[in-house]
Amino acid sequence: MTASTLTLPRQSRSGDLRLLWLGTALLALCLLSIAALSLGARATGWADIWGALTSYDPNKADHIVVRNMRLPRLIGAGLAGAALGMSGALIQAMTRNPLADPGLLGINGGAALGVVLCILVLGVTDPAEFIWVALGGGLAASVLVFLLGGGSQANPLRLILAGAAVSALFLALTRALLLVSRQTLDVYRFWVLGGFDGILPATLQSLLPFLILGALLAIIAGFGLNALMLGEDTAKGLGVRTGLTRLTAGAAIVLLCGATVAMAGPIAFAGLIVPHMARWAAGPAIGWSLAFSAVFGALLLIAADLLGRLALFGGNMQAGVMTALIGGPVLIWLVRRNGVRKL
Amino acid sequence: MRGSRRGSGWRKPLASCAAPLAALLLGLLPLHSSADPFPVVIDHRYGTTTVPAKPTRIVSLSFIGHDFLLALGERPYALRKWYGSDPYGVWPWGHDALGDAQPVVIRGEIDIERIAAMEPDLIAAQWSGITAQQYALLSQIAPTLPPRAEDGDYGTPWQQMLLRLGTATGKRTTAEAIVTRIEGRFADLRAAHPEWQGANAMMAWAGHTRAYTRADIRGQFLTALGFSVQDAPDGQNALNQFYTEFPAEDPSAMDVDALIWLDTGRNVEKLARMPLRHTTRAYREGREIYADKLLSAALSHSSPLSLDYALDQLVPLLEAAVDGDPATVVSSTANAGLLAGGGS
Repeated sequence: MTASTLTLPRQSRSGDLRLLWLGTALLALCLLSIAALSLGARATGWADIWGALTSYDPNKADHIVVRNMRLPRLIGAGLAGAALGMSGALIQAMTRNPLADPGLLGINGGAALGVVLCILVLGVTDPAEFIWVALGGGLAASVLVFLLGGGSQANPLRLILAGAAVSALFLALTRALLLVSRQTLDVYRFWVLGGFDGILPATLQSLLPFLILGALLAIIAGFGLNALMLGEDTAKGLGVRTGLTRLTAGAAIVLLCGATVAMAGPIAFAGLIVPHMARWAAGPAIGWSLAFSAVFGALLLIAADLLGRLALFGGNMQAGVMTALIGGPVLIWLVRRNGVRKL
Repeated sequence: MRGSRRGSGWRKPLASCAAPLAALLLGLLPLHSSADPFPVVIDHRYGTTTVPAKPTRIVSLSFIGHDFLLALGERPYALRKWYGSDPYGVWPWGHDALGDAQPVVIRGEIDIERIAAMEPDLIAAQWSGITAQQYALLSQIAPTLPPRAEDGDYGTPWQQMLLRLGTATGKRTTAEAIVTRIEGRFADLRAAHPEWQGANAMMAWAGHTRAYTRADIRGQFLTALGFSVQDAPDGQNALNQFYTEFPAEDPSAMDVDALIWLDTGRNVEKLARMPLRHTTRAYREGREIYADKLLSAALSHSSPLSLDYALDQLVPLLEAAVDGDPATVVSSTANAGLLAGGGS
């Protein structure tokens, strides 16, 4: 990647240093993945892990645990983390607001309402059956936010207001429905924490196209957003089609975040803090920031899922809870050390 | 309150005399029962409640309590719907007793103003989860009956549910007769099935590695048949005393002589693809029982009306599951398509 086309004059880190950082992060990701495959309630040796990956025996309990339980969780958490990180970086750049979160576009609120309606009306209790309603609800809500926010002419403030209003409305509707049905609440309260319990390979497969398309659009949008961060007029002066850039970025956020919420529920916090970690390591250039956000996001969620299922706090803790427990202190440390980096 | 009683040493001899005395009095009670005098005083976790006269407008806040009232021939003015598709929240085993009555259906959280507007003269609240604050408000509206302290929110045994409601409604004799009959049925089943005595059994929701403990009404159902049921976990792992959770990666603790999967009728697929299920002894030896929506609800209500239904359905399934011969097919499990090898 030609770094010079994506960087801004005021950025301070050299490309070499960033490559070193990225390499270290990728190495950490590999080590963490191995740990995620080998640690858990059942002790598994190296031979079992290797055997499960290369010569899978469907009758060996250790193979089943590695191949059908830990591996899908690992892949799911990695993909979700990367997607949330990238979409967080995009929405913070697009709204030029360091506190923006992909959930702000109404995706989480729409998905939650979809899921609750699905439980209440259809009586579905199996989270594997939620993915399409969650995705559909998230997409519908985010389209509403974009329209209210001014469509391709959206200015950051109006978009944030529209997002907050639609999210609040959907949340209120969700709560009203939950109040009616105790059974619905029981299913919903586990979904809403967000996590990778019992994630199915088939779910991962069917959401993969959305994630790939989202990632491609994110990279394309990154070029325009770099200029847009200098201001609307400057960007136009540089020949960037600002409306198209916003639409592309918006579509990328909706695809990435919508697929994640469908896969694992609304995992709060990761989309907010991962871009901050990425900017700390990479500087403000959006191209690097996207790459780092993807890797850091995967690291955070895999670590959260691993710690959550290692019988912390007397049993299984959902990854969505753990991201806040791990990410919170990291964010505070970053802010205290550097201040929030300007967008 | 229990603590102070335990703490004061001088009351102990008195208490030890009181118990046989009370038993003696209880034994004499049926002689006078035709009168069933009011007021009655009932002890519970938040103190004592006095019911001054026979109640006629009963609001049942208990998720299962309406079954118990109906068993006593009392139709509640209002009841709390737990789940299921019936518009009045009553499952099929209660339909005859409900007749053409149309009780007010309460859903969701307890709305105290709405209850006050109903002008009840008894609020039945065992198995309702009401808090001390809610009790303080509700008891100003009408005599309110929470569970005993030792039973907790959802642990009241069905006998206690029924006897206490019987006392509160002036139907203590009827309640005692029902308890005697159903306990007799359990005793006959125990005698007829020596192989069940001390065998391990467990009830879990389909596809989950969480099982009810001996303290839960579903655990109590199994112990009444003679099975041994997991106790509540000690220490930091105990989220509550009514169920216990096992790691999905190592469900070896669920390898029991009879494993009953409860379901709302929608989790067959989830159960079928449960990762380690087909490595368990319960699966290989055909010791799994799939309880459909109706049977699961009957077990979860464990009421005088639903227990008969549950026993009718479950006993043949238990006989097939615990006979030690993997070739014996548990019919409900076979019908759900959950047997090893899809059949045989």
